[in-house]
Amino acid sequence: MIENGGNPKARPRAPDLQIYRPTMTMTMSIAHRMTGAALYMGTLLFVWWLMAISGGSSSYALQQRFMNSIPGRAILLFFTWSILHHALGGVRHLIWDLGLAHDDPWREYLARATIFGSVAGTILLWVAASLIKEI
Amino acid sequence: MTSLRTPFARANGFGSAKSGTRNFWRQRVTSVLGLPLTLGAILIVLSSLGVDHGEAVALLRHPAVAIVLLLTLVNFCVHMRIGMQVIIEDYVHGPKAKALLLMANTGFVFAAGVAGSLALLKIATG
Repeated sequence: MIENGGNPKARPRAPDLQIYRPTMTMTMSIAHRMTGAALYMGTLLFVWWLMAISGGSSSYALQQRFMNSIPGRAILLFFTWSILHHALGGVRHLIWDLGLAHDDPWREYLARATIFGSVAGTILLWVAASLIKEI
Repeated sequence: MTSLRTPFARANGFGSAKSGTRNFWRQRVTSVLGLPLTLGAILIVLSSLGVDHGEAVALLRHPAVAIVLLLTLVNFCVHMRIGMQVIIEDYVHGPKAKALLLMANTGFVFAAGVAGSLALLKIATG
């Protein structure tokens, strides 16, 4: 990228995040990027699971022991929420890409649906998971 | 060397490279595909909870399960490589650091993708 376009005079800079009043849509946008980055690392969990199964019963037992530990469970809980939040945030972006729901109040409804949906979905999945494990 | 021509005049008439929207479009394709694939992967993971090693192998050996998980992994890798590239390009401006991080991004994604795919293929064909 050409910095300054060869112009020695410094150009005015766009206002930065800290001078804006935080809004729901802004927070959801930041959360979308943060969950995306977290899921990037979370892929390692998915790959570890696959490698542990292919590696044999002792590597599988080690992986399961970690996942059943408190830090393992905490990571998995955050992973569950992240994947749901990022998926719902993605749907929100796809709706916008179609040219819909850019205006107030629809964009606010979508922002709220993203956070409520991801939290509710996480609870639902963990209840389902605990029921499956009980059986 | 200093040119008296403006950057616009230099570029004018050459047309666009026609590839500027490739990553933008690919990100949309992988996000749409990612929805059913992720749902499938979640259901598979749910049905694997608490099973022993033999049962886990049997589950992942099922062709439908192996196909869904392999497609999910590949789809994730394409999607997350573009996503992380955007994050790096947004926040890292030093040309050397940016180049290194972009390479690291590609390396990470390829390593995760190949390791996971190999494990899946080994289970499915083992």
